[in-house]
Amino acid sequence: MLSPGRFRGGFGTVAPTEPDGRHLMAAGRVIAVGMVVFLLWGLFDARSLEKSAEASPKGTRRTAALAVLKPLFAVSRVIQTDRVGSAVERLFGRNPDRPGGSASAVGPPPPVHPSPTPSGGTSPPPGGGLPPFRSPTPQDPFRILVVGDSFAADLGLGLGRTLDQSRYSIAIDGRPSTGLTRPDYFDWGAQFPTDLAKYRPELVVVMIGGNDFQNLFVGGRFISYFRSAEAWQYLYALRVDRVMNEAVAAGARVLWVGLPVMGSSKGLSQAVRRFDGIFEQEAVSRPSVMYVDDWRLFTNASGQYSAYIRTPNGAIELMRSPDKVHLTLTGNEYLARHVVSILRRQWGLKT
Amino acid sequence: MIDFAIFFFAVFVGHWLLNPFPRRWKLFMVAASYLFYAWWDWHFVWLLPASTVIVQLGALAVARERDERRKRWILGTAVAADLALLAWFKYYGFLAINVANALHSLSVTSPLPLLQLTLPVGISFFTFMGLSYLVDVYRGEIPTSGWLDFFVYLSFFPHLVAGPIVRAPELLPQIRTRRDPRRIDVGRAFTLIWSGLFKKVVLSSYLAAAIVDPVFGNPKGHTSLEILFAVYAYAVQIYADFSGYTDIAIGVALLLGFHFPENFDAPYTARSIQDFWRRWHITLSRWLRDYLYIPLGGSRKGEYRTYANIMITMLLGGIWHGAAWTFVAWGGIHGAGQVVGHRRRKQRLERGLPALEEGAWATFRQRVATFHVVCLGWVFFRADSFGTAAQLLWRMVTAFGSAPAVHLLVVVAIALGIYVQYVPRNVFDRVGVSVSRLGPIALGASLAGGLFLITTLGPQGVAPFIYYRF
Repeated sequence: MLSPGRFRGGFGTVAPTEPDGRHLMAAGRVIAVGMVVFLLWGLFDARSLEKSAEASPKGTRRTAALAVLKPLFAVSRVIQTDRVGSAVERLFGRNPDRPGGSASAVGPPPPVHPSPTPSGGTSPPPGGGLPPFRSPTPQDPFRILVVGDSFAADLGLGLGRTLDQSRYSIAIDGRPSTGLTRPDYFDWGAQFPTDLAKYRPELVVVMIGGNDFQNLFVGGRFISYFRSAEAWQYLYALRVDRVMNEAVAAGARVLWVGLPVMGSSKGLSQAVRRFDGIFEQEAVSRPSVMYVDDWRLFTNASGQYSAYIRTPNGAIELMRSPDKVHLTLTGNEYLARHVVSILRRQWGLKT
Repeated sequence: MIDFAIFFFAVFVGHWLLNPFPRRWKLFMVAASYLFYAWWDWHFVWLLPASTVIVQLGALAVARERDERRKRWILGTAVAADLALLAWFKYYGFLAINVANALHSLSVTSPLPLLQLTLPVGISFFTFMGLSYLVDVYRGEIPTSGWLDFFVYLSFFPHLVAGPIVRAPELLPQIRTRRDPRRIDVGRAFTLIWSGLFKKVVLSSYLAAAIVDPVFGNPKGHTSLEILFAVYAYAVQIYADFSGYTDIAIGVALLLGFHFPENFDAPYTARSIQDFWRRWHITLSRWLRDYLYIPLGGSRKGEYRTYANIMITMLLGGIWHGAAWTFVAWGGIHGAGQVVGHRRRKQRLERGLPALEEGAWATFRQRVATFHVVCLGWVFFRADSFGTAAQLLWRMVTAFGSAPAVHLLVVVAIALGIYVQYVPRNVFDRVGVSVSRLGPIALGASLAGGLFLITTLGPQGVAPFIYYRF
């Protein structure tokens, strides 16, 4: 039987060895190990850790992590150990400024699904009298680029399930946790032209904004979402404007897909509605840009968020993920069919 | 990752400082565990004390009762009450949508409102732990625990969100005894934590992004070979993800001086489906065996009843993983695999042959066949619907063509995930011994380097552990 006194000490005591040669360690030494880990990891991997913490969902965990880590990151910048970490990352062929997710080209086949008649959603404005899209062939597929945040990544998969991929080449650059407010975290202003040059799309489908309910970073400072609402909106619209202009200048048409109603919080839902207004406002003056409002596609009869939607074939399906923000695979396919039906109607997409 | 590291560092210090004072230590550990749970989702913190109180009241009443019939009735009521919480959060939505769709075909409106209920993290795990304690008390295998000890047992944060399902006789005695602060097995603990993080952050996340998610998300856009490798990749992804989590949980518990049971033992080296379940999610399979299969009659009531019991156990095990028919199908495949194996073994024994054919070639064939049956199950486990699963399987044998998604790194990652299961266990033990011999500075620097390597090789925004959803 061990006496209580035996447990009072031990913090710095040299610990015994097991029969297999394994050394055991006293708790005090483990604390020392932990402090060394924190210090070195924090100093040398500051940029990656900071981005990781920034990308976490808003809340106490994120706040606490950032509160503890910020001073360490500041020190790492002063003594420039963060550069050592970044250099090592580059050695591995990684970009230390990368955000989550990655670009991926989605390849070949699938036959066409029957076109849905969405129960909700508003019709977009007419396509401005543009000629219909050309008829794609397997030799010369129609090039579509889907860009944005995780909504875009999911919609890209939905479009892949909906369109005949022998005639439609769909490239997806959907990067989770990104948006237009935080170029310090990920700069779509720099990435988007690269995507346009790489994929040479004829149609760009944009879905973004799910992470933009926050202060906007510009010129080294933050513009408050709430306190400087007008400035925030003006600057955000400029960024939307820039994306649209770049795509049009590259010879593509743009289909900007609005964000659906959110069930996670009223604040996010209101913010998303505000973003949708900006997207629509920027799209309306450009004949090559069309805005699709999918808000009501995911609401119930009284206009409220609904996770379950009755599809045109009569079945009720679960459309929203447990986070009440994202769409399920079924939801993405439902949205993709809605998008394709609008493209067919407005811009003569051949399916 | 970093927020958990900060939390754990603080808890570690508090745990060892309060270790000489049992009551204060227990209160501290319950508070820390509840805080840990609240960090995931504070809305559901109430579930933990609710489940704890239901089970403990039931256990106390069962232990006090002498009349066997009333004892059984109390047990049934307590089990039903605890399961009701799980059923409500996990299965209500599934039930409501199935009822609504069935009645719609008869032009009848469903009386059940369609609610999207968030599944509280870890509810399946702590519910099963509570039930095992309750039944063990009923069977007279263990005495009832004190209230505070039981609160610690059910909420102890290293096992809280995704197991392992630690049984009361394994953990309660450790909670009652003070841990020795001079005997921390850092070599094994840090090796487990690092390898768990590597498996989760690097291996599992890479395979998910590189091939699994694109293929399962869009089967029509991929060829036979891509689908085949996506299924192999998912087999490695889910193993790396779940066993990675378990490694971290066991390692974290070790740093606090607690020993958890093993949950994985090289599952893809299994020679039969029965063998697979002795190696995969071991704490769940023994739970199902002791609290479902054996009470159903096990193998004591004849051959066909045995098969029926196996099927019932595996089908319920399937639905435990998720409220969808695809999970039931997954359980069905494993049940059928076990029944076929059972029957074949029986026939061999009747002919005077060993239960399993021996020899290197036979072992190889058994392993390959078992792995592919398991992979067939994974198709249903991962697919969002039967339609997607059928499409994957059909295209796997019909959609020949180039396979750009199957590149060298994907093949290497899959091979690595399977190869590590064939590495003898003593190799990992020796690594642990070497790690344990480092001094604090060298160990700290090595760990920092190891973590840096993981964050460098892994993507940012790593998805949550797959088993958090169960």
